[in-house]
Amino acid sequence: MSTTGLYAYAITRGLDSAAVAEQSGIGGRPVRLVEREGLAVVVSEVDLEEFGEDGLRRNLEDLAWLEMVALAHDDVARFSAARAPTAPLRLATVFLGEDSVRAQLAEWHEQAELALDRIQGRTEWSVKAYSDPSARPAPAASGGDATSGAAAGEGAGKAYLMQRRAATQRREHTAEEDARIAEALHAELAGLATMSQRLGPQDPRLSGYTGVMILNGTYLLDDAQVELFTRTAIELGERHVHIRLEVGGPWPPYSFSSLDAS
Amino acid sequence: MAAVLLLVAGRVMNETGTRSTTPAPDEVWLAGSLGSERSHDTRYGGLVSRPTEASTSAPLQRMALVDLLDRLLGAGVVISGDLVISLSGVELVQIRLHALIASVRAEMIVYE
Repeated sequence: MSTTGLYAYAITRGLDSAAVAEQSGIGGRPVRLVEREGLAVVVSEVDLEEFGEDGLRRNLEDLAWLEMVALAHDDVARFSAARAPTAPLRLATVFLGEDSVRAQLAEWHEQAELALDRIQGRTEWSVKAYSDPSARPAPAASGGDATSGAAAGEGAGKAYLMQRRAATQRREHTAEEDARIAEALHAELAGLATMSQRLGPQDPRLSGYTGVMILNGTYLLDDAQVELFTRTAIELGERHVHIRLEVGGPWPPYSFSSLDAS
Repeated sequence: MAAVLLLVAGRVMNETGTRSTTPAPDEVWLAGSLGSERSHDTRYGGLVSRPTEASTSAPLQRMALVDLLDRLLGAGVVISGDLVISLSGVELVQIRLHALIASVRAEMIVYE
C-alpha cells in the first residue's frame, strides 16, 4: 500500500491558483496551492514510500534522485517567483495532507509575511571569486633572499629547508592576502545589494573549478540595483590579475527566505 | 553510476542598448559533465529563456546543481520542527553527500 504526501516547494502570496496548473512538479505531478489567510504553499503530491522518513533517508544518498528532486524544486520555485513573491522552502519538506499544511501556514503566517515583504520584487545573485596562484604576479624579493643566503655557505640541505619555509610563508601570505581581497570584494558588492551573505566555499570536486574559491557570496537585489551591481562585479574582476569573478543570477531568493532571518 | 555533477558557470553579458532598465540575462552554459544514462544537456545547456510576463526584470535562470544544493540543503531556507516529516538530519545528509561525492570522484570527467 502506498500513501501520498504533499511536497511543499515554497510559500507565496498572490499567486493565481489557476495559473499554477500550467506547472508540474516532482514526477510530473500537477502543482497546486494550499491557501490560508492570503498566503499559499505551493505543493504537489508525492509517494510516501519515496518521500517518507525512511524513503528520504535512503534516497538522499542517491545523487541522481537528489538531482531530480532539486531540479524539480527549482523549476517550481522559479515558476512561482516569476509571478509572485516567493519564499522557497528547504528541500524535501513533506506534509501528510492539506490540513497539516494549513496548520503550519497558520504558525508561519507572521514571519512568512515578513519574509515575503523582504524578498518581494527582488532576486538572488551570486558572485564567486577564484584565486589562481599560478596567475599571481611573481612575489617580491623575499623568497629569493632566503634561498641565496642559505646557498652561500650552509649546504644544500639547509638551503632546501629554507626554500621550503619560504614557500610555506609565501603560501600563507598569499592566503591572507586573498582573504583580504575576498573581504573587500564582498564589502563592495554588499554595499550595492539589499541583503548579502557569504556561503562557505564549495568543494572543487562538486563544482569542478580550478584554483581556490575565496568568495562564495550571495546577494539580494532590487531590479533597480542589478545593473550597477553586475557592472561593478565585472570591474572588480578586472582589478586583480590572479582573481577571477563569476556572476550568477537572477535566481529565486533561496538564501533570503528564511522565516527567522531579521 | 548516474552520479553527475555539472559545472554551469554564470557570466554577465555586458550588452548595451537592447534593454534600458535591466542588463542582459546571464548566459548559462554547460561547461562540464559526466557520463550518465540521462542527458542533462537539455536541462542545463544553452540560454534558458522564460517569458517575462510577470515583470520587467530579467528571467530567472537555472542554477548549477551545486549552487542549488548549497541553498536547498544549507542555511537560509525554512524548516520547522513541527512538520509531519521533517528532514532532521540535514548535517548528516551533507556528510553523506560528501562521502558519495568522494566515491564518484574517480568517475568524474571534466570537459573544458
